[in-house]
Amino acid sequence: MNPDLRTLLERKADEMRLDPSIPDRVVRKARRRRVSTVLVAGAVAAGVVAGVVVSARLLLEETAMVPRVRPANPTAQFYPFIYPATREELETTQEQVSRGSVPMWTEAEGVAHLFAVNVLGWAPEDVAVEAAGDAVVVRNPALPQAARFEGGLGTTLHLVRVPGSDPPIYAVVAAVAEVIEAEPVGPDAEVGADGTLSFRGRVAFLPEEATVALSVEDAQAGRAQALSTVRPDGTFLVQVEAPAEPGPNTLVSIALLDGAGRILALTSSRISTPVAAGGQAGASEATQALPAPVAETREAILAAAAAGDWDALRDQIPGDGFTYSFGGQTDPVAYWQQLEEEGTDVRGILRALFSVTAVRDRGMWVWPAPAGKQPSEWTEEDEAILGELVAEGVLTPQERRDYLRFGFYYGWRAGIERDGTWRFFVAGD
Amino acid sequence: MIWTEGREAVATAGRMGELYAAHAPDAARLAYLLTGDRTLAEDLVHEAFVRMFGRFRDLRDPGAFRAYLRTTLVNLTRSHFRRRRVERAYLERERNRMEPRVESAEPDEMWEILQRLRPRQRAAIVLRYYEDLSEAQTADVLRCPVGTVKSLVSRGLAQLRAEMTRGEVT
Repeated sequence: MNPDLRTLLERKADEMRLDPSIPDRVVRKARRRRVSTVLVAGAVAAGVVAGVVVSARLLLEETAMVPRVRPANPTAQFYPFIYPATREELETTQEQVSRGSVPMWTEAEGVAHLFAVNVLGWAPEDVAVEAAGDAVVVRNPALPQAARFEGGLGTTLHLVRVPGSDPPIYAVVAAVAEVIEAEPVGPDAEVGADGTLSFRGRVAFLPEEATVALSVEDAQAGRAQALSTVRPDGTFLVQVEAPAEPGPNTLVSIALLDGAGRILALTSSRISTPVAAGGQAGASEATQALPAPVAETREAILAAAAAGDWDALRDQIPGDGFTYSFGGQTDPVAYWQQLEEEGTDVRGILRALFSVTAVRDRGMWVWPAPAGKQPSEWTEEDEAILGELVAEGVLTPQERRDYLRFGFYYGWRAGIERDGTWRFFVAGD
Repeated sequence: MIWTEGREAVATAGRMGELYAAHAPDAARLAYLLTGDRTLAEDLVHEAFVRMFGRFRDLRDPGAFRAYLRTTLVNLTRSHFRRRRVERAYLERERNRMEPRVESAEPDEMWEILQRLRPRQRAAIVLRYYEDLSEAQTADVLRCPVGTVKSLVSRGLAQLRAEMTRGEVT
C-alpha cells in the first residue's frame, strides 16, 4: 500500500495549482497586521491583579475592532484612571463641574479633547476627535510628520463615566496608540523584579529622528522616564529604572516623539487595567478577557468534553509539562476514564470549570477564578462562582467551607498558558 | 491604517512577493493534501503568509522559512478542523452506516478514504509520506511525542486498509 499511497499523494498534490504571484489583498493584510497595537501596561502581570494584554491576534483578525477596556472602579487602594491623573484632581474636577464650571468634563469627547491638550501637549485648535464604538480617537493632523501617515496618527482613548459622580463626569482609563506595538522584555513573572522595566516593540510609522519615551509613574515615589531612538526598521528597545516596585496603580506610558520632542501618539494605562478585544457578539464575561490562544484551547476542551470525545481531549494535552494527578499515573485520559468509572463526572467538571470566569495568575489563566486568589481576597463574584460550582457538583458545600478554613482553594482547577498550552487539570493539594 | 512610506511599502511587497513565489505553490499542495479542498487550501496558505511575514524578522534562521511555514500551515489546518469537529463527527457517522463496497478500491477512492481520516492521522500520513519527514520531524510539526506520530500513522494506515476492498493488504 505504501508505494500506492505515496503515488496517490504526489498525483493529488500536482492537481493543486497556485499562481506564484502574491495577491494584493495578502500584502495589504500583512501590512495591516504590522500596524496593530498592544496595550503596554496590561502585559505586566507580576504581582498585580488581573493584568491582561490585548491579544494581538484578536486585533488582527478583526482589523476594525477597537480594544475595549474593562476598568475597575476606584477603591481606597486602587485608582484606575490616567486622566485626571490623581484622586485629588478628580475630586477637584467634580467640585468644579458641580458648580457649573468646566462642562467639557461631562462629555466623553470633551474629556478626550482636554486629554489631547493637557497630556499630549497639542494645540486646542489642532485636535481632531472622533467617536469609535465605546472609545474616542484623537488625532493631530497639524503635526508636521503626522500628515505623512494615511488617515493621521490616532490615539484611542477609553473613557468611562466616573462611578457615583453627580453630575456625571468622564475619566480616561487608558490610551492606545495605533502605531505602537510593544511588549515587556522577559517572562511576566520577572518583569520589574530587578527594579527596571524594559519594553521592546515596533512602530508602524517612522518620523524623522523618531524617539520612544517610556515613563513609569508611582503616586508616592514619583516618575522616571527614559528615551530610546527608534531604529531604521522601526523597532525599539527602551528601559527605565522604576521609581518603586511596580504595583496596581503604577502608570506606564510609551510615547512616540518626533525630532522636536512632540508627542505623536501615546499608549498609557495603570498596570492592572484589564483590556480585552471587544465586539465579539455573544461572548460571555467568562471569555471576553481571554487572549485568542487561551480562548481557542478553552473552546476545544469544552467541545471535546461536551461531545464525550476523549481523543479530541487528548489532542489538547501537550507532550510534556501537563499535570493531571498527583498519583503517578502515566496517561491523563486513561486516568480520567478510570475516575469516571468510579463515579466522578470528569467531563462534567471540565464543562463546569471552563464555563465560569478565570483569573490570570503569573502568566497562566486559571479556572475557576477563586483558585488563583487567597480566600481572604474572594469577591462577591468569586463567591458566586463557588456557588455555581457547588450547584454543578464540582465541589461540596463542606469543601467550600474547608477552603476558607484552611486558607486556600484546593478543589478542581485547570490552567492554560498565554500561548494556549493546557498545563493542568487537577484536584487536591 | 496603512502607512504610505513609499520605499518601505515597495520593499515589503518585494520581500514578501519573493517568498511567496518561492514557497506558496508547494505550501498549497501540502494544504490541499491536508484538507482535500482547493479553496480552503489557498485560503490557509494566504493566512499562513500573513502571519509568517509579521514574524519573519524574528526568525533566527531565514533559511528555515519553509519549515516555519509548514508548521504554521499545519497549525492553521488543525484550528480549522477543530472548529469543524461537529461537522466531521456527522460525516463519520454517515460513513459508518455505509454498506461495505465489494468492487475494487480505485486510487481516487483511496483519496476519499484519506479525507475521512481524523485530521491528525491524515496530517501525520501526509507529512511522513508526501513531505518525507522523519518521525521526529513530524512530531515537531504536530507538537506531539514520536510515539504519538507512530500511533497516528499506524492507525491511519490501518483504517485505509480496512476500508479498501481490493484485498491488497501490505
